[in-house]
Amino acid sequence: MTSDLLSYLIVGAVLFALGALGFLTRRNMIVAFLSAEMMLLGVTLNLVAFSYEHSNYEGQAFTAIVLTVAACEAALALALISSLYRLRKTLDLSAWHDLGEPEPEPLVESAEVERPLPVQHFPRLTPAGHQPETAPLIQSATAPLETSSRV
Amino acid sequence: MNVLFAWIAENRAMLVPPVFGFLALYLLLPREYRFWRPIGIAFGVVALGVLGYFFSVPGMSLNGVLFYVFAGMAIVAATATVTFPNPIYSALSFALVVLSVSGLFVLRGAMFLAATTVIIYAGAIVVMFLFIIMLSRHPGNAPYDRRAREPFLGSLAAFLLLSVLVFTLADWTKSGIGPSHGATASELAAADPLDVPPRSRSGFIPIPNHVDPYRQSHVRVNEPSPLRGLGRTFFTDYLFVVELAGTLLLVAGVGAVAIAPRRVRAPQRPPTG
Repeated sequence: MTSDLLSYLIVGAVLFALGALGFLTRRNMIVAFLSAEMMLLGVTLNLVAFSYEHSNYEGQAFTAIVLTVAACEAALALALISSLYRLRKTLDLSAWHDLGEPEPEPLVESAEVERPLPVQHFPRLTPAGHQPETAPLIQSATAPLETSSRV
Repeated sequence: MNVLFAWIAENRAMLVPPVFGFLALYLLLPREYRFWRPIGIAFGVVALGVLGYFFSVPGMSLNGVLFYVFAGMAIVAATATVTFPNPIYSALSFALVVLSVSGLFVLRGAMFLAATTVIIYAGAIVVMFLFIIMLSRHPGNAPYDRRAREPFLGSLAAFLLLSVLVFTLADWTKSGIGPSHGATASELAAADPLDVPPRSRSGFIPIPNHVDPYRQSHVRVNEPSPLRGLGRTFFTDYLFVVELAGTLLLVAGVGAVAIAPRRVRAPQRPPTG
């Protein structure tokens, strides 16, 4: 009867360790949450085993309270997960690494801040390999003179 | 350092389940190559077998057999929950964990808690999460499900945690504190400082220790109604806690409604006419 307690405690410890592993390594929000619930189950198993060993009901009362807290946690986690899923369209926990503020501006003197160079407009040269437009320009410059004299 | 080595050499048999469990979990965690998974399963079977050999229940009664069945199912299903790449399989394995743990609850005489656990966990939580998973489903497994984050370091952390717990429990059993010296349960209960007589803070029902039949009897499984004692504990000693739990449920419900995403409303038109 006595080493019974040890067996139950070992099972609770294994459940707790597995839940911790799942919470640390899985990247899906839902699986991480289920792992946290598994840790709660391991602790609950310990409480019930101790309650049996000491033959009182305090451990069971604690377990019922833990169940209530787990139900509250599940409701809140459901609401959170569904609203987070709406924002990023993914259940990946790594999508929320940047949950904090963006990096602040570096604090330097305003004179030391490198401003971008003003855009300079250089004169455009005619591309090489083309016929220069001087000859038709001269012809067209002489032509309107004649027309104006006619008028 | 020598003390540490001597201690490890003395307890090296106890190191087998955590080390093999570590190897099994490291090989079983989701990753791109699935070649190592059968080897991981083999390591896990070895770890479970050694664990069951060390912490065996003396005397193979029906109770012991049921304990083995439920405990093995719980551990295997917990491993499956952590290691399945598909989140639906993970949620269903978690339901199996819940059922096995309720079986263990029944073996410890906590029928009410077993029923409540099945209703709350398997009935509400797992089903709701299955809904969420199905609403947010990728075709095939999502890339974030196919690869675990830092499987080696995570397995190492779980290994350290589990070995510390197991060694602490083993030392506790070896020393005089633990319940391993053949004392009967009633002697233990008499000598145990944790087993204080029942308080009646509310002062409604003072229960002296020698009168309360539910404290004297150790095995409550065969009692007519173990619910009676639990209800009395709730509504005398823990009345305030019960009220607090009800308030907590209310607050959590309000908070969940506040957090949950609302449907985007169409812009309201000004009333015509």
